[in-house]
Amino acid sequence: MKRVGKPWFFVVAALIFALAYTSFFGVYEQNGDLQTTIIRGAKDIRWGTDIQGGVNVIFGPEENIDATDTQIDSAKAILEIRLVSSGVTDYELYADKDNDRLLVSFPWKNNDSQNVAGTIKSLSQSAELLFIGGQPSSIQITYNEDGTKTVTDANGEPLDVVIEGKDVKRASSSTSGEKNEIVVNLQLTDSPAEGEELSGSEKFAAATEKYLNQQISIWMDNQLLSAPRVNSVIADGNAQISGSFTVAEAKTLADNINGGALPFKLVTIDYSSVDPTLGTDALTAMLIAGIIAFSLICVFMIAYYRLPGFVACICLLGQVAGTIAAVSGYFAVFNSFTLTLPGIAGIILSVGMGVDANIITAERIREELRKGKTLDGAIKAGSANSFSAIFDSNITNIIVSVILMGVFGPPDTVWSTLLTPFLWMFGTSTTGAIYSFGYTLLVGVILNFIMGVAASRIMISSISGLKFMRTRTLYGDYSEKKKQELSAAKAVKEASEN
Amino acid sequence: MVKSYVNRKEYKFLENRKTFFIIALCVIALGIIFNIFRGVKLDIKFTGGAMLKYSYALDDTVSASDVSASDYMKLDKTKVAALVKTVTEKDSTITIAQSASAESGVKNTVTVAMGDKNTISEDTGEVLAQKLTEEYPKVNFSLIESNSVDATTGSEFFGKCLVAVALAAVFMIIYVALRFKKIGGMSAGVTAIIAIIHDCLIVYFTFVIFGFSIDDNFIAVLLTIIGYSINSTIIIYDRIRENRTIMGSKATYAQLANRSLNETLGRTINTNLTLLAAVLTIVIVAYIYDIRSIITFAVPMMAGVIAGAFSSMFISNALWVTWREYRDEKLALKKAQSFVSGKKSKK
Repeated sequence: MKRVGKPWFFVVAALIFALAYTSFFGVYEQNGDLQTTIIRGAKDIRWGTDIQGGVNVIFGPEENIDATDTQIDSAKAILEIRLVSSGVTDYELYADKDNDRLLVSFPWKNNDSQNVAGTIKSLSQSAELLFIGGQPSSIQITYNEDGTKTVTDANGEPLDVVIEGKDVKRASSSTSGEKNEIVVNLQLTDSPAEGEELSGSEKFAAATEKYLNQQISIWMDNQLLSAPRVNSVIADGNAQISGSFTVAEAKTLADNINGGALPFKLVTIDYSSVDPTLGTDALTAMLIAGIIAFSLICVFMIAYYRLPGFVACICLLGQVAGTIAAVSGYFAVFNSFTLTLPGIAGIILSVGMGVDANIITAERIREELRKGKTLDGAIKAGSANSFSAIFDSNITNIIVSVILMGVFGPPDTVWSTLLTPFLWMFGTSTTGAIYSFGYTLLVGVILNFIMGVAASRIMISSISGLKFMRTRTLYGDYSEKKKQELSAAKAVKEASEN
Repeated sequence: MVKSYVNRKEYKFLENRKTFFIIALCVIALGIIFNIFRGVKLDIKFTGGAMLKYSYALDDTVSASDVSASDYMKLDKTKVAALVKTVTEKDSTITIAQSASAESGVKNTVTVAMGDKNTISEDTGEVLAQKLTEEYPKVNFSLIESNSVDATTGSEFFGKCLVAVALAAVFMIIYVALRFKKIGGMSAGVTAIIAIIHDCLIVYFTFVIFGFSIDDNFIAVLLTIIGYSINSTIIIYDRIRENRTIMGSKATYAQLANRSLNETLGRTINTNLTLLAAVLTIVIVAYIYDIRSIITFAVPMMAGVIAGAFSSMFISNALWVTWREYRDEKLALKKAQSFVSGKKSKK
C-alpha cells in the first residue's frame, strides 16, 4: 500500500462532516409555507412506541374461528383504512397468516393524553360496508336505538342504501375480457341474511335496475371506496367493477369489500400503551447521555492515541451519522425505520465496536513503531495486521444481527425466509423492538468497515504525509523522545560533574 | 525465537488460571444462591398477564396550604386491590411508588399487576381510573402505561428469544471454529462460547439481584454482551493465531496465550474503559431523569461489559490452554501406548 495522497485526508473528512451535518439537521426546501424534506434529519426519526409513547395491539378473530388468508388480508385492509382515516400515518401493520393475528403499532399524536380503549375499539369494530344509490359527497351513519341505522348525506337528507356488507359473499380481483382489463368481481349472497327478506343478489338486481346508467357508490366507515356506474341490470348476483385499476388497486378494493363482509369480529388479544410523557423523558436522557459519552470517548482517544485518536473521532462521528441516516432513511424517497430502545442498544454496541476497531489499529501502529519501524512502515504494518481481528469480530456481529432480523422481523423478508427451517414451531409474530436492534447492529457493522476501517486508514495514511504530522510522538511512540531526554539528562549530569 | 521488543514486564496471566476459574465459579455460585432466594421475575410480555400504571397528583382544587393534603394522597393498597377486584374480578398486586427526579419533579405512581395469565379488556384502565377517583376524590389519576398479554403469545415470544440466542451461539461456534483452525478450531469455538455463557449468566444475575423483570430488554442486553464478549475473545485468539507463526511450534500453549494477552492488554484496557465510561454515563443520566426502562438495560449492560472483559482475559484463553494441553497429553499417552502395544505385537 502506497501512502495515500495528502488531499485525501481533507476530502474524506469533509465528506464525513457533510454526512454528519445533513443527517443530524436534515435538508429542507422552504416553499412559501410549504416545507419539503429533501434529506431527513435526526428530528424526522420515527421513534418506537417504547420511546415516543403509543399503542401496540394484536388483533385476532374471535375464539375458535380459523380465518382464511383472504379474510386476514381483508381485515388488514380495513385496519389500514381506519388508521389512515383517523390521521395515523406512521403506523406499522403486519399480518401473521399462520396464527391469524394482526399486529398494529402506532405512536400517539401531539403528546396528547389519549383514550386507549376508544382508539383500540374504533380500530377493531365491525366494518360498515354500504352500497348507496347515487354518489353523495359524504355520508353520515346514525345508529337508532332499535338497532337499525339511518344513513344521510351532509345535509341530513336520507340516502338509499341498496346493499350492505352482509349481502356480499365475496369480492376478488382478476383480469377479464380480450384486453385483459383488471376488474373486481363481486359475488352476492344467494339466500337472505338473518332477519332479511331478500338475498343480496335479489336486492342488487333491483338496485341495478333502479340505478341503470347511474352511479352506485361503495362506502366503508364513511370513506368512499369506489363509485362505479351501472351499465346493465345484474340479476345473477355476479357483478364486475371495471375502471382503469392497477393490480394493487383492484386487490385493495376487493380486500376492502371483503372486509365489510367478514363473518367474524376482530377481538383484542394483546395490547400495550405507553404515555407519551414517559417517552419524551427517555429520549432527552438518551440524547444527553449520548452526547456526554461521545465527548468522553473523543477526549480519551485524542489524549491517549494523539493523531490516530483524532482521526478515530472523525470516523466515529461518521459512524453515528451513518447510523442516523440509515434509521431516518436519509433521502426522503427511502423508507425510514422505527428506532426503539433496543435499537439504541444496537447503536451503542456498534459504536463500541467502532471505537474498538480504531483502538486496535492505533495500538498496532504504536507497537510497530516501538519495534523500530519507520513511520510509513508502521502505519502500513499496523493497518494490515489489525485487519483480521477487526474482520472476524465484526463478522460474528453480522451473524447476530441477521439472526435477530430473521427471528423478530416482519414476515416475508429475506432474513425471515432464511431462518424458516429453525422457526417452524413458531408463528411469524413480530416484535419491532428487537428487530430494530438487529437492524442498527447490521448497519453499524457495515459502517464499521466503511468508517472504522476504510476511512480511518485513508485518513491516517494521508495525513502522515504532511510534514508537521510526522513526529513519532504524535502516534504514541515516546521511545525516541525518552532516549533524547535520557541522553540530555546524561549530558547535563556529565557537564555538572565536570 | 523472536526477542521481546518491549522492555516491559510481562504479566503472568496464565500461571494463576485456577484462581480465576475459582473466582468465576464463586461469582456464579453466589448468583445461583441469590436466584434461589430472591427468585426471578419474568415480565408479563413472556408469561402473559396484565399491568396498569397510573401516575397521580393532588387535584388542583386542593390548595397547597391544606393541612390534610398529604392525607388525601395516602393510598391504601388493599383498598386499591379491592377496587381492581370489583372491576375485573381478578386478584392483583399493587405497588405504590414515589420517586423524585430532577427533571420531572416528584412522580407518584400506582401499579396494578395481574399475573397468572390474566388478561384485561382495553377499557379496564379507564374504568379503574374512574373508580379510583371516586374513592380518592381529591386525587387525579392518569393512566400512563397499560399492558395485557395473552399467555400463548407471551410464551411463544419467550421461545423465539431463546431460539435466537441459541442460534446465534451455534453459528458463532461454527464461524470461530472455521476461522481459527490453525489454533484448534473446535477448542477455540467452544471455549469462546463458554466465556459467553459466563457473561450471559452474570447479566442474568444482575437482573435477579436488582429485581428487574426479564423482558425483551434482557434479550437485547444479552445479545449486546454476546457481541462484545465474542469480539474481545476473538481479538486475543487472533493474536494467538498470529503468534503461533511468529513463535513457532516450540512455544507452549501457555507461553503463546500469555504473550498474546500481554500484547493486546493495551487494547483490552482502553476499549473496556471507554465502553464502561459510555455505559456509566447512560446509567447516571438515566438515574437523574429516573427513566426505569433505560436503567434496567444500562445497569446489566455495565455488569456484562465487566464480565466480558474478565472472561475474555481470564477464562476463554485459559480454558483453551487447558484444553490443548490436556489433548496433547492424551495424544502423547496414546502414542506411547500404541508404541508399547506395537512392540508387544511384534513379539
